[in-house]
Amino acid sequence: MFRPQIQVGREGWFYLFLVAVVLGVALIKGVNLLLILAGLLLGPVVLSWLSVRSNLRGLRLTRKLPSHVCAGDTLSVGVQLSNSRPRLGCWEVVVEEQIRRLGNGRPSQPPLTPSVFFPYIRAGQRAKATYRGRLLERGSYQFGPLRVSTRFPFGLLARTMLVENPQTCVVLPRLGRLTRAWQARRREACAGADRRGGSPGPEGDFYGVRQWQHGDRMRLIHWRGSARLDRLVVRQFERPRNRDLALLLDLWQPQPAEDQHRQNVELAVSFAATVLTDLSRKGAGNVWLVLEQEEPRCLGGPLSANLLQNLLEQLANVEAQSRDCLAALLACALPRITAGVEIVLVSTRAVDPSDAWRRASASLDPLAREQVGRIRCVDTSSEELWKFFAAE
Amino acid sequence: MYLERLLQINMATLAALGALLLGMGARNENMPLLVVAAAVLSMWLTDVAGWFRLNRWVANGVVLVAAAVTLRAMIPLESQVQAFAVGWFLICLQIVLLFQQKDERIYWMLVMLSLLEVVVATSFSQGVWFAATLAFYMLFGFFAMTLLLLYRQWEWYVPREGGRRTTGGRRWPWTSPPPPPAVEAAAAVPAKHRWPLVGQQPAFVGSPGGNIRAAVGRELLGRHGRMGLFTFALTSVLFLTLPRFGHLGWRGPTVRPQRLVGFSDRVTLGELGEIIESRSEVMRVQFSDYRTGKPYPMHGEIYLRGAVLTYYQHGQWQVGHPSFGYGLGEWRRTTNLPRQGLVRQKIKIRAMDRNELFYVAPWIPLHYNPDILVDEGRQRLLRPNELCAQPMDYELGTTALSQGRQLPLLPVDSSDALGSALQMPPAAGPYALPRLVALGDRWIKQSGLPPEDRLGRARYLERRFATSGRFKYSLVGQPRDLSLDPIEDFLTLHREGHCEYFATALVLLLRSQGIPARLVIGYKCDEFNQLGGYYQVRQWHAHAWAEAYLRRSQLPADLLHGKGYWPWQRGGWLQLDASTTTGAPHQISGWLTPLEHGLDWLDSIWANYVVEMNRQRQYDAIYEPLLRAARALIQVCSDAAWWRGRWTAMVSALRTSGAAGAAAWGMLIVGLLAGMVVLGLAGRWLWRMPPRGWLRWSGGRDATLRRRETQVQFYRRLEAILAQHGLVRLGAQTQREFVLAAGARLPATDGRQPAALGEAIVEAFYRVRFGCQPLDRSQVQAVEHALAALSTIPRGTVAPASRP
Repeated sequence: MFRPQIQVGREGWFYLFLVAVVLGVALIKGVNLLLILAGLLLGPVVLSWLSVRSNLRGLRLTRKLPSHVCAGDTLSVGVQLSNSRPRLGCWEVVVEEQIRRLGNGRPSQPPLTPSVFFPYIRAGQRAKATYRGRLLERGSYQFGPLRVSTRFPFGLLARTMLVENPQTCVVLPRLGRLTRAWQARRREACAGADRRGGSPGPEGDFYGVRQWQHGDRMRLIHWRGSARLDRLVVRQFERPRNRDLALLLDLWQPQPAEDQHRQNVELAVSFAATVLTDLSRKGAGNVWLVLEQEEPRCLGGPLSANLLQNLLEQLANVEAQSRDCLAALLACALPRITAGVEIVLVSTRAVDPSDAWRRASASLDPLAREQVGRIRCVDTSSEELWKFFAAE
Repeated sequence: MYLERLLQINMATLAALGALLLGMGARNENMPLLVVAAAVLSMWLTDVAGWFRLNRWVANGVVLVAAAVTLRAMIPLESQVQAFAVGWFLICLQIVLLFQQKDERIYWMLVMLSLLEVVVATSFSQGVWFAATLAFYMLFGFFAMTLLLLYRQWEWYVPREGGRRTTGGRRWPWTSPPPPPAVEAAAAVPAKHRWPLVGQQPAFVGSPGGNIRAAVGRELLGRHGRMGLFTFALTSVLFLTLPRFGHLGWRGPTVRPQRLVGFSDRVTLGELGEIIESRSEVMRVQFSDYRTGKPYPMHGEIYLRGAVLTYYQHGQWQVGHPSFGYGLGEWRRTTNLPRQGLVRQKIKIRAMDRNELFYVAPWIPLHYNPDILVDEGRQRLLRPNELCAQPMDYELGTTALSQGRQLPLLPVDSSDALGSALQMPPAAGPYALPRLVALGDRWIKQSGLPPEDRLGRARYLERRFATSGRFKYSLVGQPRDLSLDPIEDFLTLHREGHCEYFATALVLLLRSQGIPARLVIGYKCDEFNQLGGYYQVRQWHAHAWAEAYLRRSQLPADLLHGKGYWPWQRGGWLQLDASTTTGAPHQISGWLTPLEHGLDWLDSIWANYVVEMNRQRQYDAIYEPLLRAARALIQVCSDAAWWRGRWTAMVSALRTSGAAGAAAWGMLIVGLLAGMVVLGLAGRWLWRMPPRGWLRWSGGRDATLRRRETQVQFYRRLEAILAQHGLVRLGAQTQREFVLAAGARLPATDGRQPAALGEAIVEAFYRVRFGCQPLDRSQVQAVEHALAALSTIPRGTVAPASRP
């Protein structure tokens, strides 16, 4: 959609005023040389009007935008302008982007307007320019419409066209760094889960034999192999480790919120995103992410790149809530999470899940109670967070 | 740097051209020289080397001082000359700006200052060179403004070390967006915050796409050339067609009138040393037949009278005896003009420091002119002193031109005092001229002519100067015996001198023989411009000659003119020129002559039809011919007889056999084809124009755009509805893909699948957006119903995205 319009800048108004004065004096006083000068001054005005109309004809504009970027990371957007006219070149074109954050309930902010400049595009050729910058808030951003303007040749008049080519880019939560304490705690949690998972035994797939050692169970001895090797060997099985994780995100903030509260929310989201990314990097099992978006939502499954992307996009768009949603989160999460899964509650406040569960839920399911009891809490408002997480 | 250097050179040239134009008008060569020197120095010292840059406060102080000095200088001056003071002030401002560190504000002010200089320059009377310089100025001005525009943007977007360029001045605030901070600068993390991004602002930096050298290449020059031609055409049309309101064209103030070096109303022999000749123009004289108005063909030289001197004493000529008194008479309007032989002399005299007007005598007033005064005592025509500083046009009649030559005979005027024309210094005493009288007696005796043959004697004395071989024309000052009268010294001792010596000697020799004679000063010109058809009189054409009185019976019949108009019964004055060599040194010879005459003609055209174009001249030169042509065209087109004649001629030509008939057929076919092409083009234009014109007039085009825009708004509404469910279109998705994917995750509403609803909306969007087809009412209603249905889907019912 093109909405061209021609505007007169301040320089143009000043120039027009000068032309009017010169022309008026020339006609009133009968100064012929001044009349010639007025004609020469009027020429640029007419030429500007003609040029700005023709200068933007035959231009094609394309934008190359990444589908996502992390908050605070450098975003580089390429803009390509093609001049499809066969003979006429094109000078002095400014392409201005408009970047708006999408989302409900947000105070309307003026759009960001990065711009690029094309001094000259030869006939039939194209030119590329790039603007780069950083978007500091996670969420979905709409890029566009593009405002293409020119003031060639004299800068007196400007013609602007609006090219409505909206594209969306999701700004994912900023990733931090998990500390060794978090890794150790995670290992402990996995070990605990294994212990809770029942008696050790050949529950996994067979993958080889090894020499018998003192303490090995008799039933693990691989008799055929021992006979062939003439020594005792025992069967070895892949021992499945329980790396499943459920992340519950409690993004509570008071109303009205202060900066500190908003920072706690961002820390919580960033911590959750960092944990998920870390799990994906190390190869996790199943992952659940439970968060509140108007209503509690539970997303999960075997952690893959697509799921990670989906979860990060959910985290990018999640909003803080001023009401207490912890009980609802638990109610949504616990029925869906299998036993033995480590549950981590990331909250922006100091909470007791058991207490919240007890107050809000009438369920007396012992399994659920046991799960609630095993929930580990990470409070982003406390200094304890820095033991596990470093925001960068 | 390349662009900036180019801009600096262009600005320096523009400043110099502006000052040159101003200097041309003010006739002051110091102005352009000063600015050229300042431009060159500032380029070197300020722009390239950076050794000297005027501090802003110092520059402001200098400007204030210059303003105060200008104001003080303007107060005592006349209002017309105040423009000169304003011009100097502008020059001063320009020089100050040239030595400041340049930024886009300074560049813009330099452009405006030079433009104001040109505005001031146009208030002065300017020649054709002004037009040529103005054309160059315009082209440089165009290029400067374009370079400035590119420079602004380029400097704004080009990446530099340490972020945006902010040194050297401010961003010109009129059109620029607020400067974004650099990305690197925004990356600093405040230590006191827990969240590292808090307190920072999102920042973006754009880079230019392309090479600036390619932008200012030959194509840009060619485009500016075309723009220059367009502007010339536009200016010409405007200038010729815009009506003038005044009867008189503006001639502008002349700050320094030209000094008339060769002419004076008082001749003092021996006063001058070497005469320096000036080729500057004094006036232009054009002759035309009074009855027909056609140019009068002239051959040879013309004598333009300025004043008549009759009283001589010891080397000094005066108008009459010192006790003689005359006043200024009024312009007499002649009702009965000579029936034949009347020639109009149209004279344009430049601004001079003297007020004499020159003419071919005898003059006849053709029409009333209040700007001409008549000095009967000296037989002069004068202009008022207040008009001396401006060029002046005046017209007179004369009968002294016959067969392309000026007749050397004038009628005696009633104010002529023949007695004073016989005045001689006393025969004894210090002012006596015994040698002159003796020489005259000897020459007359040698001639053998009787005393009654005044004509013969006068002619004989005139010829003696040329034929004796003892007298030589010279502009070099000669040593004179101060004990003698200068003219006696010239006649007897040092026989070299300029025209005043020859004329004085002849007058006194005639008087010594009893023939009344007088000295006439004026101009003798033989420089005829063939292109313009006028005599071009320069300073070096100033001349003095003698006139001898002849009685009626002595007047040669072949020299009489204006019979029945002039009172020849009183006798006449015979024009005698004793100078042995006149005019020869002044000739412009060689290949330069046509060039010189061409330039003079251009200057004449420029002065007549540009600088001094007034309402009457505009009507005569432009409106009237156009009207005449239009009337003739209408008359021809509406004349049935003319068309019938053409038709008959064509038919007869077609019936002719042979080559003539074939040619007629060929012309007919070509004419028919051309007519069909023209008709086709006109029809095509008419077919397209009315709807477009109607739409433009009625705002329909804008309305169409608005309607289309409104119609695409529904897709935005769809995206907004889906965004409420957290469904946002990814960059790689088309609108259809997005809607289908989102619809799959939404629950059905009222038994209708969201995917189908969304797809219907996308179909409509494609139709409007890419097909440019408007929606009819039923389609609009369908879209609205689909949007309403989608908006009823409760939030939080979105199914998770399908997992691979």
